[in-house]
Amino acid sequence: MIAIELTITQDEVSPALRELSDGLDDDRLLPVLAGTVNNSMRGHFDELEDTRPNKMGGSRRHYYSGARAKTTFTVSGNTAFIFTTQVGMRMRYFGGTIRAGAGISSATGKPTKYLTIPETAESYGHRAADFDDLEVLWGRDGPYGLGRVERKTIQRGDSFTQSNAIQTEVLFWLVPEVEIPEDHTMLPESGELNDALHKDFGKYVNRLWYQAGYRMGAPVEN
Amino acid sequence: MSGLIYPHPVDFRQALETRSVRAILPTGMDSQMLRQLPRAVRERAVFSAGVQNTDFLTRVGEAVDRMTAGQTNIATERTMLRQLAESLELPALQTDARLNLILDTQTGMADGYGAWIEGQHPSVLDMWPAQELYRAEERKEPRDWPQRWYAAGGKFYPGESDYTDGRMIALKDDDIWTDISAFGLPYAPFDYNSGMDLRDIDHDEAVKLGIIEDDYLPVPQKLGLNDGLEASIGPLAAKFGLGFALGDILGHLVRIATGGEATFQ
Repeated sequence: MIAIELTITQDEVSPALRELSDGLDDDRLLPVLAGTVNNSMRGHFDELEDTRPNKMGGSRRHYYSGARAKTTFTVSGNTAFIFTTQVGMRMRYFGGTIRAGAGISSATGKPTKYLTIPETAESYGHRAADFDDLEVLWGRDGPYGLGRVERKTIQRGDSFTQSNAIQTEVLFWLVPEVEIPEDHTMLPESGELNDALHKDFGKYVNRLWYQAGYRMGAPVEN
Repeated sequence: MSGLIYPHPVDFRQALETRSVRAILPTGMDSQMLRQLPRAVRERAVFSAGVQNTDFLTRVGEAVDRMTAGQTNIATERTMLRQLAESLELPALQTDARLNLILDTQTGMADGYGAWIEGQHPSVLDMWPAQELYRAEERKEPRDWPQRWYAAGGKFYPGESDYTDGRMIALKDDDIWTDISAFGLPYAPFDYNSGMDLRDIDHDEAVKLGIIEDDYLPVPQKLGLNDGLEASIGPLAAKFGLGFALGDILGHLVRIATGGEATFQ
């Protein structure tokens, strides 16, 4: 039988472990983990900003850059919330149906009957009310768009003129609802987030360990 | 993954708290003069160069609140503000460019302040003690940010960058952030319509780049917002000869003592 006698004359480990343990409390750890996810999401939105310009070629509204700037986190108790307040993000991620009627028409003052879907670079990022030269375009089944109409007036007899549309430019399509397909590429993949969390958690623990040693006057090699 | 998505929007609390203490500040001052306002005034006030109409500024403040809370978008708010500007016969405030500038700058400041606050949490600041200024949005005629950075005493670091000079990185508590800011604030936006933003640099990378030593322990900062509701406007008044005229501009929102201290009411 071999006996090993261990005598601790000065306990330098317990304070370091306490420091480490304190650092793992929710109020200190959660902001770090939330910060990690926050940074991953912001980096992802930067990539989308670079790779997804608007298809119509109009002046960019920098939607994804806006999403990055509006992504943040808050910690409440043992829960961290990472969220973006960029309008439309949830609909783009989950998909769904947007129906007219939620807003008030600037033309009638009543709930809207149609959504206005921009057709041109000029109308992209604008509301129909931004244009004062649009007419309702009518088809067989009712109104189908808003646009500019160039007309030619033809004299019919002495007191009658007829105005015929010779060119129509559609700026907005009118639709009662629109289907938005789900797009889970709007956010980083869960594997990517997990990797970032593992990596930063390791760095954080290293920092705690280093600081615990540092504060005891014996910097820890790491 | 689904745990990251919530069915109901969560308020951007800090930023909204920032905005909730803001006051409307009608001013005839131009952009250059606004930059000279004490930081506490700039942080608390909703203003826009040359805009003296309080109705309009009040509506801007409400619009920014809604946008910051994610309740509406810029196109909707811009349309409403344009209609208001038309009814108030303010032709200079009816263009897309001007309205975008006002709304983008104000919401950007709320976003920037929120990001700054979260970055000052001791654990977060220790993990990410530095930040990089980078181009987040393209611009047709971008400003020369490396030149501004250099002029403010900033250092360039190696690595992938939009700029041949290198990466513009500094500690979060470095004075350079207020020095490069047209608004004198340590967070983005640093100028009107700049397209520049900040991203975190973690402790390990900061050590690797030689910005800090491994034993660096950052100290969280506070801004004027947390330091009470007083700001000295004495130097400003002297510089621009505004004197009591500034008191007139600030109107009922502040009480100005003889020493130049402004107390918000």
